[in-house]
Amino acid sequence: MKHGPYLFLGLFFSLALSWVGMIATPQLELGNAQPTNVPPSNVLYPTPYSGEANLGRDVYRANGCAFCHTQVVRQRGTSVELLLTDAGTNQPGVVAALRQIRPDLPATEVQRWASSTPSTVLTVSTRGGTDTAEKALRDAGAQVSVKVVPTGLDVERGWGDRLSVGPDYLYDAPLMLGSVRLGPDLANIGARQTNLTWHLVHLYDPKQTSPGSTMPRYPFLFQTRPRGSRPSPDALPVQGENEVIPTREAVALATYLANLKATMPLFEAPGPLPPPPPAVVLTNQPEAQAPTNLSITIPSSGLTPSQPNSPK
Amino acid sequence: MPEASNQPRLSAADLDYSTRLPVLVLFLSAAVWLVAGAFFGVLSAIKAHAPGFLAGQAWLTYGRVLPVSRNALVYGFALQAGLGVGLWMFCRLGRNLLLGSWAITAGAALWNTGLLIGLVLILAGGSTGHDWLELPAAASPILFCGYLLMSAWALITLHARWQRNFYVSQWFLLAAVLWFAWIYATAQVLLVFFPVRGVLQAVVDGWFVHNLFELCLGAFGLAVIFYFLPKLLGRTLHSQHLALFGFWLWILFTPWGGVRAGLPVPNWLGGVGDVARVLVLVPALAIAMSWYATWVRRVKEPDPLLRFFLVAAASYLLGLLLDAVTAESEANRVLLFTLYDQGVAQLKFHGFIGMALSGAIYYIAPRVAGVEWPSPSWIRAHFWCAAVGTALMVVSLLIGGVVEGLEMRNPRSEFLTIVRSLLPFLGTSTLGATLLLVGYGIGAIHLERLLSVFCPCAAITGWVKSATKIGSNPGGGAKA
Repeated sequence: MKHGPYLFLGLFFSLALSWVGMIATPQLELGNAQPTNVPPSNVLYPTPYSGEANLGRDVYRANGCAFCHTQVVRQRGTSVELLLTDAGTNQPGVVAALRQIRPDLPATEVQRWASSTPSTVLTVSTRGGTDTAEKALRDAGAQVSVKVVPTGLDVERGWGDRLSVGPDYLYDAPLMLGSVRLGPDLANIGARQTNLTWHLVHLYDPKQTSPGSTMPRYPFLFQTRPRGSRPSPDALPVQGENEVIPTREAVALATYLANLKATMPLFEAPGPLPPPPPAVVLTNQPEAQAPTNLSITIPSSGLTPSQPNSPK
Repeated sequence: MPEASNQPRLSAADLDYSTRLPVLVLFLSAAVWLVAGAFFGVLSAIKAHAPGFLAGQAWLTYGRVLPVSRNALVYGFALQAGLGVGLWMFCRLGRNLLLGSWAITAGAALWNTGLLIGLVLILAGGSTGHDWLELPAAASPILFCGYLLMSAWALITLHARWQRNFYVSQWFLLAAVLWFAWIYATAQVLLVFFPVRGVLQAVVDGWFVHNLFELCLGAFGLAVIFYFLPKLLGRTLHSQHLALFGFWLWILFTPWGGVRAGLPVPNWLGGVGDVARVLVLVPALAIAMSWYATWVRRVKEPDPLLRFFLVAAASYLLGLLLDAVTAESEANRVLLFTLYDQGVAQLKFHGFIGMALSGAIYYIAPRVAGVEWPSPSWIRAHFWCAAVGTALMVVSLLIGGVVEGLEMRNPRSEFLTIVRSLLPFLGTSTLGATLLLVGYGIGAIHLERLLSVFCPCAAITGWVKSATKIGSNPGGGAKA
């Protein structure tokens, strides 16, 4: 073959074709993605990260956390569950309807469902599969609801309520999906573990919070100094001669991790609805300190201007 | 176009001599980066199963050491060695002298400077966060300028060839040289300088990484095998037409395989990727048939260097097969996000590209330098260390990946238990990485000894000095 120009054109167009297909087309499809109002409560989703969380993503990027952790929840499909929420006053009628729906189960089992609501009556794979049962129960005077439940290994492992989809990452810059799981998936770590102090102790010494962990320690994100007569209010609850004070980076990283959650059910990724916000009851009692969320008690020590005793 | 009668009578030694300065500079820096990359690879491999090892320093943390190793290997070793081999092959196959020798050397200097800056910045926490593209914005433009300088003169040399007919290797080399500039520029612009939003970054990065490995580095490796396999066997390539068929289908299918199913990107992208990774087996079969037919009809006792290219060819085909396995949806569900992908990447890098380029350097360097290898037994040592190391690493990571994927199928099993069950596999892969470091170290010291005729004192540190000496040492009894 001596036709250099043909070779050149062939090379050019083969890559140009894939460039158009795999770079330009997805950009036209998704490049203008915007946050949307998600029903039923018309909440804007997604929302930008806070400045602190953005700083934390920088720490995540600089230390290459994505080389061990993914941020992707996969899902195999969905199943549809019919929930009996209230048996109403016509218990025998409801039990009769339940026995018709589930002839495979003993009578005592369905009687227990009717007496202790809410209970899952039927699990099917398609949305229309519950229609007959739903109607029979409603006719008997019971109240029912239909729930879409994502299935799949990641979901069953508790790593997320639903699969990860494009809108979850709209404000991720840079995007760090990760490629291997030598540590757990972090797409919903903020939903699983809301306690900032837990995250900080975990970063300082993973073995203290998760015995047997294979995660390295990140002591360079913390300052240590001898315990004096006036302990720092920011010090972590760890044993040892020295008190451990998180730096600004550590607090930012922990904030970022606590912000990682993609639980909002979306049209393309249906999932369980979040519980409705509790009704506000005005009392004169002092507000109880939530034991799992200490975020308000941990100010960033890096923001404190002077650290005179710090050995660093 | 010049008349055939005007063609100067150039011996192979003349052609080799014209490439001496840039090719030896590229080879020497490639060898240094290879050892550096393998060293950081051993560090990160140890850290993967012993998290306490050197954990106190920010710059030595696993997430910084690992990208340094990867970038040193790909940008430091593979691309520089590939370009060096490519320049030499352009001259040999085109029967013309290398043009722009000093410009190419300057380009190599720029490239190495940029890479050094980038790797130091990664250790300081400046990584971009994108896979295989971690070199920060302060370094990548320097690399790109160096690359443009080198590739421009490579293309001019190719254009000025006396032998107008292209050989198979030249197709692949031209592809690699043109495509790298394109994919690197696209990825840098769309990920670092004017980043696209959200999951589009994963699409761009997937496209870049796949094309970097399969198209650019893969094309360098294929060019090397197509050149040396017939040459060392003492016969011509079995069928240029079969190779041509394989080539065109290869460039048609390969660029589409970048996105895996199961990622949060539009589903059609994963589907296209699955189809492309299976379809590419067709050209691979044509290429393999062309190699096999050449190999069975060998006419002379093969050169000991041949084993490098045989291992490279086998690793290439095996790597494509292992990639195609992930196109099956259940297999992908099990293997995605496990060590399996790392095993395949190591096979492609060390088994295919590393082997092919090392073998090529062993053939080219003494001819270009005009001296013999000081101790041929070192070549054997390098080969066996690299081959056994690669095999240990690849097999342990592949099995570890399958084990992890299968254990993850039980959602009630504790995740930490699963990770701890991977530790033996990660330990074996550390052993493999150490053997690789030993093999590459032997190769690099050997190359330094070979080149010590030009610079007896300190070959690594004073390569600028050696460059001036090379320029003033004509002839040198290079052998054909």
